[in-house]
Amino acid sequence: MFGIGKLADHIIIERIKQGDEKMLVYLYKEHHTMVKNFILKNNGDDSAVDDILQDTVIAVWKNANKSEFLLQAKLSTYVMAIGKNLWFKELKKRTKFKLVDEDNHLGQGSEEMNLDMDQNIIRQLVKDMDKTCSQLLAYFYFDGLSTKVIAEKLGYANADTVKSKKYQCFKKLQGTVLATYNKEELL
Amino acid sequence: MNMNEQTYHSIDAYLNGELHGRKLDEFKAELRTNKNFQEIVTIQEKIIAVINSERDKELKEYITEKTGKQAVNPAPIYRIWMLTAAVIVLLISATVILTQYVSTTHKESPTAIALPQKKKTADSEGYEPAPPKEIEATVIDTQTLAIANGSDKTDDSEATDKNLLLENKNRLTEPLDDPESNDIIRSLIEKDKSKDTSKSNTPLVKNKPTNQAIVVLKSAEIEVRGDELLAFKSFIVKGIEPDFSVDATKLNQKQLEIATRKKKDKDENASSEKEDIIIDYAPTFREIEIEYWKSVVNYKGYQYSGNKVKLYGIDQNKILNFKELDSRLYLKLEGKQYYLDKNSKYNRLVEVINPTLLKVLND
Repeated sequence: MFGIGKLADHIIIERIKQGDEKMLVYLYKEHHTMVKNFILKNNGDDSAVDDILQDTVIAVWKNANKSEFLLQAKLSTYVMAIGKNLWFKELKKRTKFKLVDEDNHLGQGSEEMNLDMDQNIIRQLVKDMDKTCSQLLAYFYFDGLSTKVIAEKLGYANADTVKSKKYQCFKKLQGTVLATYNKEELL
Repeated sequence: MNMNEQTYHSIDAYLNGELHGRKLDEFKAELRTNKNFQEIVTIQEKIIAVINSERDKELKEYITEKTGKQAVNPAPIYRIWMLTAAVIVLLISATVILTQYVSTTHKESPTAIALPQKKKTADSEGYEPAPPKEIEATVIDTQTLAIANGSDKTDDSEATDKNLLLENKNRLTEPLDDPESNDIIRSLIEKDKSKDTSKSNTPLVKNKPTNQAIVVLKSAEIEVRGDELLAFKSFIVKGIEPDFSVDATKLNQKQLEIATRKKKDKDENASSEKEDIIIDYAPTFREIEIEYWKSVVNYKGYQYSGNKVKLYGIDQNKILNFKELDSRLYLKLEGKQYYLDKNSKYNRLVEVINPTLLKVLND
């Protein structure tokens, strides 16, 4: 895979912390068979495997970038644990949706729909914003990368520059959102 | 709604759960009392949620793009097709290789092409040509026969009574039905005769390709010859003792003269020796025939049947002197006395070393 062989766990974690997105693919391929077998043995089907595995490796990606993250077992064990939790959560969700559908509870559905509408408004604005800004905000909020790593990846001088740039980007986005839409609609 | 940088970072820290203790209490108090602040926090939270959602979507698309379901888990049908293609390629390769091998092996068969077609006659019906290997086995026997280049003895009738090898040779050298092939073989034979004789001792080679199969025929021209008779002479043997038991062959004076005259007629080359021949008018004399032979294996010895001595490896120009003592024949050659015993096989010359006997013989 990408010319790399079997990597040690600590190297994978280190490369995740460096924001190397190839590790996502590596983790996905390395654990595909394991997660698939588990899902198929637990009332799952092939269509669910990819979604669960993608969520799993992204969760590992996010968790590894947290400051308090400490790997106390094999990475494969950790990945499988997350995969199992996500699959059981998905099973619960499926059961829950089934029950809701049977009881015809439409109230909750309306609230979720409103939330989706708000997000769609902001999502379009995020897409339209400057690419560097969107990357910076994504690295910081979603990936949880440190300002130092973000500075290296985006070519900024240091962590303080990243902090300042982040504030500017966010303020600009917030102003656009508030200017475009009525504040009351968002709240 | 104005938001300074410090407020923004404080909200970030709160949303990330990084505020603790007094700072957290102050933030919560402000959030409870300040409605404008609540709006700011809500909007920031929603924007961050959208950013995370977009990033999550982006990463999933990246994973899907890089992995691809088919690349990670190839469909069984795809694998089956790959295996089938590999098997077909292997089978074709094996077929081609085997075909080439079989055709090559067929071409290399010497009997199929090189051996001439024997005309069917009454004598040859049911005859199967001996394979080259049998010829090889016959050639190895060099004790009584020798393999030489057939330059002086090409007569098949003489060769046939030698051994099986010559029979095989005759079969192999029979003319081909195809005149063109006969010409080729004839030219090869002529060429072979002009070469050094030592080359003809090359063993026959089996399973040669077509062009070398003719060489087998060429090698079949090997002539086998036996011991060669160089000359023969008659000698008068003098019996030393009066009681020599040669009554049946005892000659009188007149018979002795006739024998001497015959000897002169037979061997002109030995004319110089007539002076050396002992014509002794002792009580007993008899005539004996001496044949000079050249052995093919350069054997030096004799064969004595009673009235004829075959000498092998003895120069016919050397002076010989025969005496008989006590029914035993002695040969004097180059000053040495040799004992000749009657035998049907070949014996080596045994020198007489007994001084008393030597004195009697030399007297």
